[in-house]
Amino acid sequence: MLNIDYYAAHNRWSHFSAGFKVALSITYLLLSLFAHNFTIPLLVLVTTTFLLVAGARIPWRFYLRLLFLPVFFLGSGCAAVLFDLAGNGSGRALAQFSLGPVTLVVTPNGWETATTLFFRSLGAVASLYLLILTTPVSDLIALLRRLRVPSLLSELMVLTYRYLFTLLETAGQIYRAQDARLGYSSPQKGMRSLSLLTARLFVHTLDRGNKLYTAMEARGYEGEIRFLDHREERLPRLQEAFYIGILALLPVLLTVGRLYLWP
Amino acid sequence: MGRKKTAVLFLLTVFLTFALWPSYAMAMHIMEGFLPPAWAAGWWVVVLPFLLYGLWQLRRVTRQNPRIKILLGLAGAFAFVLSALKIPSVTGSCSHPTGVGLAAVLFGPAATSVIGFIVLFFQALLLAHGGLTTLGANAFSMAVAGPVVSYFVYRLTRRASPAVAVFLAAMLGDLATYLVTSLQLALAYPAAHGGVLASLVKFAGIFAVTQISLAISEGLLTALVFNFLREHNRNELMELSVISGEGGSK
Repeated sequence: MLNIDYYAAHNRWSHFSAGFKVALSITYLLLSLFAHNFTIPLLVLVTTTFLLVAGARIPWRFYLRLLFLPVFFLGSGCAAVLFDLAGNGSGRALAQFSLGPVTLVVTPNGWETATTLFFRSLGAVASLYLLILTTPVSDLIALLRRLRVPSLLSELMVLTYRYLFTLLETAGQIYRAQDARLGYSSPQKGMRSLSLLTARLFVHTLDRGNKLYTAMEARGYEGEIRFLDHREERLPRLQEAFYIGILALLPVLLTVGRLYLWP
Repeated sequence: MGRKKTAVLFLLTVFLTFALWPSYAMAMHIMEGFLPPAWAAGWWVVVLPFLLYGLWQLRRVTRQNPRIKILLGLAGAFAFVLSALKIPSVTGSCSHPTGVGLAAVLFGPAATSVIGFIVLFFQALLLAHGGLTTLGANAFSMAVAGPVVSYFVYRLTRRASPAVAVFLAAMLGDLATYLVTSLQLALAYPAAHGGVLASLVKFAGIFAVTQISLAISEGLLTALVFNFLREHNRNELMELSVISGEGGSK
């Protein structure tokens, strides 16, 4: 279920400085986001894929499956941009298609926007994966805390992250027990079972929360959750050079892009 | 022309396959990179005041009662788990509940904006649903617009019948989320002819396939959940009224 979380903690890059990985992925993200055609996002996609598979050693099968995850949204979203409803003032159309009373047309403009959008989103998603597949959530929250995000927000994030796994486990147990007793053998039964599950899980959550509060109060909790900020270790020279090399590649990519790819 | 027509037919088949594929029917998270930079940043600016208001409100409540903070953190985990479950949809396929209505009615809109934001953040990090640049837009539709609609529908109709009120709140909250997301996409990608309105029709039409049946299913589910809670867990519900700022605390 939470494979991403597993790989975030078990890859060659997981112990590297979170700040650097965030900066790297955000640079790639912005690079594809601001692109005006599909070449730069495609380069970003190739580079991030290389970094993830060859650098961080994320299994490529898993990574590929992950890239297909947003296919429903991407497919339908791009289709909505690609097709225009035919109107009186429609200009030149690349293709048209009748669907009962409505006629859908593909304009050159729509085609261009849709293809750019497709690759831009893929490049951006790959950059996001570069972050979430290499950086454990706890490191990210620690980074947010150092960036002075309101303490209430980061505290709630820590609690949410901490209890997400226990509650998922509990929900899974209830689900299996219900399923084994034919609780999901028809849609109606499924609806009833699922609502029972949700209600029980909710009460269970409150119960866990109250117990956690008691336990924390016994250990001196007075309304503020304090964290030990672990200091990040300095990277070995070789890795540092590798990183800087990657970042140095970006202006080169940009220049090449400006000169040859973005007319 | 014939070849192009075949191409279009092919594209449409591909699209319909994805649209009707049960495992892909999920809540409408705008994926990373789908919004142009200006719109992505704009929605962040729009959603920040709501988030800060929610945090300010919660800080006041948690200062009075430190236990609430723990409960809210766990509520976030609960909402995340809820969105990972599969709900049998009225059309026979499956989709994920959004939890918008349930959270809004249980915790009130201020707390829901914060919890919803955190849940969306973790969905982007752990499930790769949605994204970081589009988190502002997604938070506005799912953590602000939907819950606000749910909350007020519930407040207005609960005198008549609590069960119907919860059903309507969850269903209309889902529909509001779906329409706001469609509007966000339409604003970013207006159609060449007919502008934003025509584009809205396109996006809303495409997502209607999954979203309308999801809204009805989720309405039913939430109403059932509330019935169970009201029957067996009155005390817990009373406890929560402190967070949502209703009755109990005064």
